[in-house]
Amino acid sequence: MNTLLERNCFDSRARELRLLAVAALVLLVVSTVWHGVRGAVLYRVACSSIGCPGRQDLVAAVLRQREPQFFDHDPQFGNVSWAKPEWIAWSSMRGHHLPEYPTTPPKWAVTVTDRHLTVRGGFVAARPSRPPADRDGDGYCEVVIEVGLPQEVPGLDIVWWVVLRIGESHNEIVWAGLMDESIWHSRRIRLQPVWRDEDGDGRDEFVFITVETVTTPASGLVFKPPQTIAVFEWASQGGILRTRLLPDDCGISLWRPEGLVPMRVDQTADLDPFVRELLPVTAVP
Amino acid sequence: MCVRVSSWKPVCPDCGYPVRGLATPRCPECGVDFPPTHKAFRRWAVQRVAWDRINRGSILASYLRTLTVILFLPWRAGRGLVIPDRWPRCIRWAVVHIGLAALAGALLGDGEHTLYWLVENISPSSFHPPQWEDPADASAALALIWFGQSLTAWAIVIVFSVGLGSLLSLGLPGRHRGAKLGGVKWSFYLSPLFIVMLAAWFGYYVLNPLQAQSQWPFDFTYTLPTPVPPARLLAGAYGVWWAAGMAANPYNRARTLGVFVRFALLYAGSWAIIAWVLFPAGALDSLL
Repeated sequence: MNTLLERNCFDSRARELRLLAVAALVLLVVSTVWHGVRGAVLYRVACSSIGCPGRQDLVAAVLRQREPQFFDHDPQFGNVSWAKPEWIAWSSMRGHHLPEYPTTPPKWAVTVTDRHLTVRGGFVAARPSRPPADRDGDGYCEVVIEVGLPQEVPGLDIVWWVVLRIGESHNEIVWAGLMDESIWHSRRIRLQPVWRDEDGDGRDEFVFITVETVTTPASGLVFKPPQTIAVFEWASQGGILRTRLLPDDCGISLWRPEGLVPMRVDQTADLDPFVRELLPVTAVP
Repeated sequence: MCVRVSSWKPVCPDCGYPVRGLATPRCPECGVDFPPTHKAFRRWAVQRVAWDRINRGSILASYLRTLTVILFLPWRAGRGLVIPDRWPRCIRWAVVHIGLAALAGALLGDGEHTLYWLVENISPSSFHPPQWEDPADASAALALIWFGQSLTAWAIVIVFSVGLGSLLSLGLPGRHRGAKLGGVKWSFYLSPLFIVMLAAWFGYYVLNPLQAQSQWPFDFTYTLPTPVPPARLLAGAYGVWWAAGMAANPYNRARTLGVFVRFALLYAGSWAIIAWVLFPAGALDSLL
């Protein structure tokens, strides 16, 4: 009968209350510490979560906290894309005053951040596009943007593609093309722009490839191996994209920059009408 | 005159042999020593759960029996874990189940991308457009970091839930010391509940008829609304089971439905205050 258990079956009330008070105090202290370090923990986890599906809310919450002037909108109308391993996140959407049945597509105010969630620039367009990344190694991100026809011009199978370099104060158009998709759609093929290192020099080229599905008895619907249709390479770091391969019958007509230098664009300018004026529909071959 | 006679028949905790009127502190049937025979500790004479006995017999059978009684008869399991001894075995039980539950949570909760990454890198799907930007493109190191973060978050939530049960049991004033320590043991032994609840939660999504519209099994969280976030669901279930076992402890002064409700409310209230007020996770909830 010498063990602690056997000597006494009830603790004294004073001792119990003292223990409770100590426990409450410890909890308060640890809680205060947690409130102090939570922001830093959140930031670290968010930075390492760029590109992780299911953690967009986490990244968006940190962006809203760090850069409220860019990310103060209703989170319902924003998103953070899946980033590529380049670790660059991008966000978000303007147009949180959308009517229930909008007659015009919403505008996306895209803000580009680096992997430290620091804002590197932005642009305004109707369609969000793929995550930007530094493709030519000049320290600035390039992003591919699709510009569609305005709603008042239906019936044409035309789309504009733009490669935009995101700067800190202004953007630059480094490539723009107008594509007549009807040529490809009639053959059940879609053309898709991708970044791919075609010549193995370690730098991505801007490439249009075919996307075509076929049904096979064994696997069902599968994608056929893509074919390269057009290739555009960097003239220089920080320069424009010049043509390396462009067949006449591929339905792509190009914008020719004056002096072979990129065209400056204001970051708040709406890209869609700007690009459509740059390369009017009459340019379709 | 009405005399209330207890129907309780004291038995050997290990083999269930009747021990009423026994003079020696040792079971004549199995030979196991009894816990303290001090009158304040006279309520130990209930049979232990199978895993807590010295002679368990088949490991698998005793594990399944223990698991069954914990899941379906928590009040009986709580009573069967009243003797606060054999701690190494109890701690091993808790550690293994908490580890497995954290692993299951990390794979089935936010960590579903880990499963996706593994599947896509071991056996890539043929139905991917060329140059498709996909989470499976992430490097192995990145996928490992994401998985580690999910695993850590789940481990914290589960250890916190078990620890809260233990601390509440130890800290509640005016209780018999046997009840306090027995409550800690019960809190530890209840850890497999997390695995079962996670499996039930996952099963709900997989078997849900609405699931047919989504791309099973990896897209379900994006296509169906989550009725209860799994961490809260798990903590809620743990609290209910915990209260049932705590209320059935023979050292309690009363073992009624009211006691069960009070324990359940105490656990839920403490969990809410600590998790939402003292240690709010905020957007870190995404890791779960």
